[in-house]
Amino acid sequence: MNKKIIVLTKTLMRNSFSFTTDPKKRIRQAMLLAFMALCFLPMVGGLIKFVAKTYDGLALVGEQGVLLSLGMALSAFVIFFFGLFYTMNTFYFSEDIETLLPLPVKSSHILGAKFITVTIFEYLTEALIMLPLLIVYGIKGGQGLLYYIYGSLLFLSLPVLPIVLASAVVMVIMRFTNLAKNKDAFRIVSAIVAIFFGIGVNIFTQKMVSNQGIGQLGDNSLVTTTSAIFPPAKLGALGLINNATLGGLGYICLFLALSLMGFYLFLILGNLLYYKGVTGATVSKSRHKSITGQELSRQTERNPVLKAYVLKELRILFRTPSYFINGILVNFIWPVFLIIPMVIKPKDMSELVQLKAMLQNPTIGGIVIGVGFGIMLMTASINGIASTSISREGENILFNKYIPVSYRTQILAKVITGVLWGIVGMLIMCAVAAFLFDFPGSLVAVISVVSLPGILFANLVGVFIDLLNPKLHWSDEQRAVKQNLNLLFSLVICVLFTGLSIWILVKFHFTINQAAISLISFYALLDIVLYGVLMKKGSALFSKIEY
Amino acid sequence: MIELKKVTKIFSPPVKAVDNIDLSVRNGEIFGFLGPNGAGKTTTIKMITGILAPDSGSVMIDGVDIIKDPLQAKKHFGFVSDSPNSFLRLKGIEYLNFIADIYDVSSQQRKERIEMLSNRFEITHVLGDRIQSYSHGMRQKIMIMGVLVHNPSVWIMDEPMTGLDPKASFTLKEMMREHANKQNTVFFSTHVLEVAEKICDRIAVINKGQVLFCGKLEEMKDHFKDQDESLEKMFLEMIEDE
Repeated sequence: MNKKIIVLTKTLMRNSFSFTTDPKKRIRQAMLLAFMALCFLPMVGGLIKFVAKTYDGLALVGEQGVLLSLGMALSAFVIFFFGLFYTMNTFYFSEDIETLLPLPVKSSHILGAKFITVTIFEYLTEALIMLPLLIVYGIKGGQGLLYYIYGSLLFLSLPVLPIVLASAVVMVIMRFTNLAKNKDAFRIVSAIVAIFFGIGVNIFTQKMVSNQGIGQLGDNSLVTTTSAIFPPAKLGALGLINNATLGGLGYICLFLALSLMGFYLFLILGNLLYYKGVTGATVSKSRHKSITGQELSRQTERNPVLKAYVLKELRILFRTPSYFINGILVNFIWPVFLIIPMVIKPKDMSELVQLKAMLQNPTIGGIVIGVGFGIMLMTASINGIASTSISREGENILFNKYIPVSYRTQILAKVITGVLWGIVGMLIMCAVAAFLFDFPGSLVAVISVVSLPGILFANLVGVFIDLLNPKLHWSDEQRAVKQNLNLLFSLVICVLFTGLSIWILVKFHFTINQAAISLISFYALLDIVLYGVLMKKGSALFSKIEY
Repeated sequence: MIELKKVTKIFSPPVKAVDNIDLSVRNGEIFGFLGPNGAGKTTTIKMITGILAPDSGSVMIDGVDIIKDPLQAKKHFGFVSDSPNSFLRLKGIEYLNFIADIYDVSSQQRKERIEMLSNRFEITHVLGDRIQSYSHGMRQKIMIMGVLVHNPSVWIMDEPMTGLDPKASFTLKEMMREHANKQNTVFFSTHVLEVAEKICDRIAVINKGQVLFCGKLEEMKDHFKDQDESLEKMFLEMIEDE
């Protein structure tokens, strides 16, 4: 490959993984990562066990190959979906563009390097889905060396086509929105359009899959059916299944050739669209909006400090494209994911009827409350609004330190901002549950009330985690929210608490009332303690932050 | 009034970023803070403004200790940092109003001041635009206005003239003089010796964390009186002696 692309890729990667240089902090970070890996270990073990059992079941009817095709199709889809975000961020919102554009390199070099960076990130996602499947299939089927070689080749090349597709969507949209005057707003709108496009693709492919009838089982015939989401998956799966024959080699070669073609197609498309879409991407034009006397009076209204600070936080969250996409938009995406299967498979309504019947059953009422509570807590944590709230300040942290506003007030404002969004996320979920899934109103109301202390908990934890080790040295805003380990750390804590809560509710067969009362009282108490800690210890941490 | 007593800051021992410095900036004077890159200017300013805590020594603003009573001390000064690239997503007017809220300025006063200042700095026509769309100089102007809108007795500015057009630079100097004449304090750092020469009542020269000279410009000239030196030459010599 071209040398310039390799040099650029290296630089971009180094820039993305800007781990701290402080040896003390590095040890702490490594220990936290190890701890988290430990937390996930049982999950991975369970996953492998599950896959192994499924393999046995499928092998009985000679359909074990479906594991591979389904896994590849699923990976391709997930990669495509994340690819929309990744390509948008790395291709367009990243501020390194302004330094890269004046360099004497071709746009295909920049694009190639950025493409590879995105691909490397996607390997992490892919590994979660594909590795257990590949390994279980290999071991259970007693596969030879060739299988593992083909498997590695497939693993490495699988993300290419979905990313090509995702970046094509993004590049076309950006090419045209770049004409707009208010760039930030248009980028936000185009992000929403791109995501809805992604969801549209999902609905379309799922429909295709469900329309395909299932023929005679046996001899891996299901491979074809499941590959409908991502047709090349069939080639890959067949290549792996038939690795012992020459035909297998043919399939693999075909898959690799297809990926290579996709990459070249991407470069051609990029040469046509990228430059025009990206030049001036970070410049915004002034509209010369002067203010009349009346407007001035309105805009200079006096606010209490706390309100002014929360307003500032909300405005910046809303108007910064990467914060909007990663922090605000995700609140709306999860409910959409829940709706999709409803829209495409009306026959599943029977399951819904069953679900409703289950909801009436008092013995599992407690679990329903617990699961609802858990979803709200996760939503509040996963948007990262609290757990990146200090990191997002970046260089501007100096401002927080010289203004005459106590650290308590500033921390409180950040918690409030997060809680507000947690509540918005909760309301959306409740609306979906009530109107689409026809949950009883009283149940939705109980879940909402129970969730409030949970949402507060997620935000208190988030801000505290971010105060411990904020990621302030970033070159562009997306780095503050993406690749920020603090989000992951606080999410792990929330996952543990949610899991534990639900486990207890299940274990002791709590009724709705018992579940609601115990959840509210436990988390309210926890919130009070955490609030006290955050105000005291958090303020001290804030005062020690240096830039 | 700003008073530093035996202030020291060490980042990586044994090098002292700021080494036991004493400074006293009086009411009614414009004080220039000079020094080459990496001399310790910004570190000193960060300690005065409460951004960094000194390892030893004390900093008083209008008689209030910034370490012991930070919130009270912070109300006495306004600070313009050397980078105007903050709050880019806010509109000019939103930024100014946010600052006014933080410093608890009354509605009437903030409105009057914003009108007056935006006229003097000639940015009335872009107040409704996001700061992101401003040029470097315009961003600098809005940051300076952010300080003036709450009208503190002590102004602390890190390289305030950078990026300003000649007219705005003149206006700022004029305002500094007006402010000092009302028995207030103006403290700013600069690389531009001519600026210091024209408007400062007193200057301090810092290098390698130590104050090499503090006093009136004439005194500095007396110091070198055997030669008829330009300020630039004196400055360079002083730094090289170290």
